[in-house]
Amino acid sequence: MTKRSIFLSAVVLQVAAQAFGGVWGAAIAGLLVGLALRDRGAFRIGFGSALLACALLLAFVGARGGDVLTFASMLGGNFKLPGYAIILVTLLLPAVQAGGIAGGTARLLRAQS
Amino acid sequence: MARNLPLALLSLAAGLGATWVGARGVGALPPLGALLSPSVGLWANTANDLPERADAKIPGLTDSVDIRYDARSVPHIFAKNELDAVRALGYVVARDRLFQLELQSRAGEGTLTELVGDVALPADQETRRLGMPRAAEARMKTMDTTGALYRILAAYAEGINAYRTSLATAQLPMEYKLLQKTPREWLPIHSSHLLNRMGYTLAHSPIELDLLQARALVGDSAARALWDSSSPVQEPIQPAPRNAPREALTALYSPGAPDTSAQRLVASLGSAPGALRFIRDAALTADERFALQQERAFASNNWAVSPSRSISGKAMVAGDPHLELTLPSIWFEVHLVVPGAMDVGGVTIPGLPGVTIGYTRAFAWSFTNTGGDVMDFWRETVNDAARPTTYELDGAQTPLEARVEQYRNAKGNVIATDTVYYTHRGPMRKQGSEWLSMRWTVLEAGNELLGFYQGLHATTASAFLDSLAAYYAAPAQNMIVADTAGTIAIRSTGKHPIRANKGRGTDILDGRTRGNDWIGFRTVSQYPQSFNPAQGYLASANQEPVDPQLDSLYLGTDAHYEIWRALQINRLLRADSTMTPDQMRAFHTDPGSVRADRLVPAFVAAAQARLQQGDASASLKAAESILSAWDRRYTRDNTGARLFETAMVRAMTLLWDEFIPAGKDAAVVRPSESRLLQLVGDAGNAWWDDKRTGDVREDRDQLLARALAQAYDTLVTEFGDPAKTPWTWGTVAPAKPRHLLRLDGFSAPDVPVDGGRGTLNPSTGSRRANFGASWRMVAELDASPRIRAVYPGGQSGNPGSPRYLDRLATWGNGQLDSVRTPRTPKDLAASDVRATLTLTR
Repeated sequence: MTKRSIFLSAVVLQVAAQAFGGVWGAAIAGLLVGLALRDRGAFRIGFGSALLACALLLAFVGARGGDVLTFASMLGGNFKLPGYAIILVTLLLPAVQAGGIAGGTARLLRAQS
Repeated sequence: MARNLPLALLSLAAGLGATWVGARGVGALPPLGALLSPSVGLWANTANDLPERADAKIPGLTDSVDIRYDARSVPHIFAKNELDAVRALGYVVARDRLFQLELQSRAGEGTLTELVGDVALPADQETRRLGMPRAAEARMKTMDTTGALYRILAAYAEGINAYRTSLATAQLPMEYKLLQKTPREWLPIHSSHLLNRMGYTLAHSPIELDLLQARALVGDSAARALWDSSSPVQEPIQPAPRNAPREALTALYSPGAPDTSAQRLVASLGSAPGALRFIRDAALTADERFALQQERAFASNNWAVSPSRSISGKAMVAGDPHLELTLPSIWFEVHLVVPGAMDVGGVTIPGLPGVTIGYTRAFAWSFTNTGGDVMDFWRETVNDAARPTTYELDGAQTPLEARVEQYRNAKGNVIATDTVYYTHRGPMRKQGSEWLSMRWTVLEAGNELLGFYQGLHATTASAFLDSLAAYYAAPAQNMIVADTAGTIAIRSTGKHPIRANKGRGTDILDGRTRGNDWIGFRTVSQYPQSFNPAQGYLASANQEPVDPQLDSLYLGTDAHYEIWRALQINRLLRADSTMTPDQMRAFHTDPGSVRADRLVPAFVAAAQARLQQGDASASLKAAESILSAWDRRYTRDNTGARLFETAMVRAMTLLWDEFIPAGKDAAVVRPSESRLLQLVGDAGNAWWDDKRTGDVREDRDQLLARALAQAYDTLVTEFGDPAKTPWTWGTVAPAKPRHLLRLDGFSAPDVPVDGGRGTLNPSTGSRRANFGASWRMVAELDASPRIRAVYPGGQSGNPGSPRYLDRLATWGNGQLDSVRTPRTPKDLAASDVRATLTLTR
C-alpha cells in the first residue's frame, strides 16, 4: 500500500471510530494504527488522520445545519477563549490522542522486534 | 532500542494523557474530549435542529396528535381529546426545554445540589426550611389519583418522559453534557414543586422583621408610618370613583426614641447578617439587599380598554410580566386545539401543564402579581430550646412535627442535614434564642391548574375569572381579561388572609394562643375587582389593589406594592380615548416615568439652591447641568437617567442613616422609595439630617445635592468623563438575558432598551440581576382575537439552535410578532410551517 492509501485508510478508520466511539474511538483507532504500522510515520499518520477525521465530522455538523463558527464563539465565551481556540482544541485533542498512542505503540513494537 | 523506548513512552504518555483528560477531565477542567466530540459532544447539539418532519410515540396516547410548528417555532397541537393535548404539550416542551424543566422543578424541591453541586446548597436549604417540598408532598398524598388534576399532571409527565427516554447520549441537552448528568424521570409532583417555586418568586415579602428592627431604632410611630401604612399615592387596581390619583402626602413622623420592647426582641433574635433567615437574601446587608431589590424588578403590567375607548370599537387587553430575563425564557409559546373542547394559545411555564397567559377564541387574559401580605410569623414557646418536641398552644403542650432534610451532591453523597420543625401554622425556625413559626398561603395552594382548565371552557370574561377564583389560591394575581363581547374585568385572585381582631400582618404575634391565628380568607366578593368600569379602562402594575379609604380590611402595606408604573399607565390611558393595538404595544416600552417627573426636579432644585448658596463643587455643577438638561425619559440614547438612578440610590443611603445600628456602618432596613414623595415637600423634616455628620443639621437640599455630587463622582470613576463619553442609557444599562446556569457564552449580548426603573419597561441588566418584560402581548378581541406578542430569547433552550435567540432583536426594539391562531392544521399556509411532528401510541 502506498503511504497515501495507508493515510486514507486511517482517516476512514478514525471517522468511524470517532463517530461511534467519541473520545475513546479516537484512542482505539490510534492504537490500531500503531499496531498496523510498525514502520516509521505512525505518529504522523495517527495524528493527521485523527485531525482530518475530526475536521470532516465537524464539517458534517455544519452540513446538517449547525453554525459551527458562531457556536464556537459561544462556547469560547464560557471559557474566555476565542472561537477558533475551541475549534483548535476540538481538532487537536483526538489528534494528540491518536498520534501519541499510534506513535508510542509502533515504537514499542519496533523496540521489541 | 535505546532510542525507541523513551520516545515510545513519551508518545504513549501524550496519547493516553490526552485520552484521560478528554474522557475524565482534570481538576476544574471538564472532560473536553466528550464535550468537544463532533459526533456526541456539544457540537452535535448544533445540527439537525427541529427537523422538517418527525414522528414519535407516547405510550399513553389514545389517538394520534398532529403538531405544526409555525415560522415562529410555535407548536400548534391538534389533538382529539384534552388529555392527549396535555401529553403532546409535555412532549413539545421537553423537546425544547428539557434541562429547564428539571432545573426549575429542583429549585422548588430543594434538590439543586444533586444536579449542579454544592454551590446550590444555600438555595436548597432556604427552599426546604420554608417547607416547600413538604407542602408539595402533602398535596400529592391527598390528591385523588382518579381525579382531573392528577390525570392532567400524569398525562403531562407521560409526554415529557416519552421524549426523555427517546434521547440518545448525543442528543442530550448541552447542560446535561456539561454537568455530566442525565435527565431524571419527570413525576407529577415535580409540577407541584414548580408551583411552589413560583409562589416563592412572587409571594415572599415578609415585612414583620423589617418593621421590628425599625421600631427598635426609631420608635414605634416613626417606624409604622414608614412600614405599616398604605401607599402615599393611591391609584388602585379597583378603580376609585375619581379621575385622578389620590395623594396622601402626610408629613412623616420624625425619628424618635427606640422602642424598648422591639429592642429586646431584636436582641433575642440576633442581629448578625443572616440571623433573620425568613428574609430573602438574608445574608446580605440592607444596602446590598436594597440595591438588589432595585434591580430585581419582580413586577408586571396589565391593562385593558373597553370598546368605548378603542378606535376599532373592540375591547383590548395587554400584559407584560416582569421576571428574571433568562435563556431560555421562563415562557414557552404554544397553541392547543381540541375541536369542540379547547382552543387556547399563549405561554406556558415549562413544568406546569397549562397556558398561564394567553387567549382563547372568546377572550384573552394576563396577570400581574398582587403582592399582598400572605406570610405571617408567630413567636413560639417550646419545651426545649435546643431540640424541641412540643410547643405551647392554648395552655397545652402540642407535639411538633420534625422533618429531617438531607442534601446530596451530584454523586449522591449526603453533604448536609437539617431538622425542620412544624407547628400547626407551618415551618418553625430558630432565630437567635427565639423560635419563629410561619404561615404562608403558598404552602396551602395546589389546585390552580384546575381553575385554568375549567376557565378555558368559559366563553365570557366573567366566567373565566369565576373559574379561576374557585380554585386559585397562590401566588395571588391581578387577573385581567377582555372578551369578544366587549367586557373588560380584573380581579385580585388568591387567598388573602384575614387576621383576628381586624389585625394586620405586620407584627410578630404570640404563638401561645390560637386566638392570634388567621381566622379565614377574603371571600371572592371581597377580592379587589372591577367589571366594565365607567372610566372605560383597567390597569394593574403591582400597586395597592384597593384604596384603603374604600376597603379598610388589611391586604398589605406600601412595602408590598409599587406605585410608579401604576401612575404612569393610568396617566397614559387617561390621556387617550382612541386606543389602537399599536399604541398598546408602544406603551410596553414607553420611556416616560412619573418617578423621574416627581423626583428629578427635587434634585435639580436642591443642586441649584446649593450652588447659589456658594457651594463650589465642580461635581455638583456638572451633575446639575446633566440632570436639568435631561427630558426625564428613559430612551436608550438619553444621557441623564444613569445619573438620576445612581443619585437615587445614594440619596436613600444618606437619608435613612437612622437605620444604622450603633457600632455598624450600614443600615439594617430601608423604607420603600415612594416615601420620598412625602419627604421632598418637607424640606426641614428631621429624616433629612445625616446624624453621622455631628453638629451639622442637613436639610433636604443639602442631602439631595450631596447625593447628586457623589453619584456624579461614582459614575466618572465607573464610566469616565461624561463630556468625553456620555453615559448613554442603552450602553450603561442594557438588558442582559442570562443563561440559566449563568454561562457567559450562552447568555445574550447586551440589549439596549427604552425603559428603566419606574417606567413601564423596567428592563435593566446589572451584575446581579436581570429583570424585565419576560413576555409582551396585545390582544384585540375582534370576532376572532388578533394577538401580537414576543418574549426575549427564543423557543429553543438549546444554545446551539438558531431558535435560541431569534426573538431577541424584536423584543429589544419593542416590536411584537403576529401570533398565528389556526383552527385546523390546514389553516396554516405551507410557507408558514417550519416543521411537523406526528405523535402516535
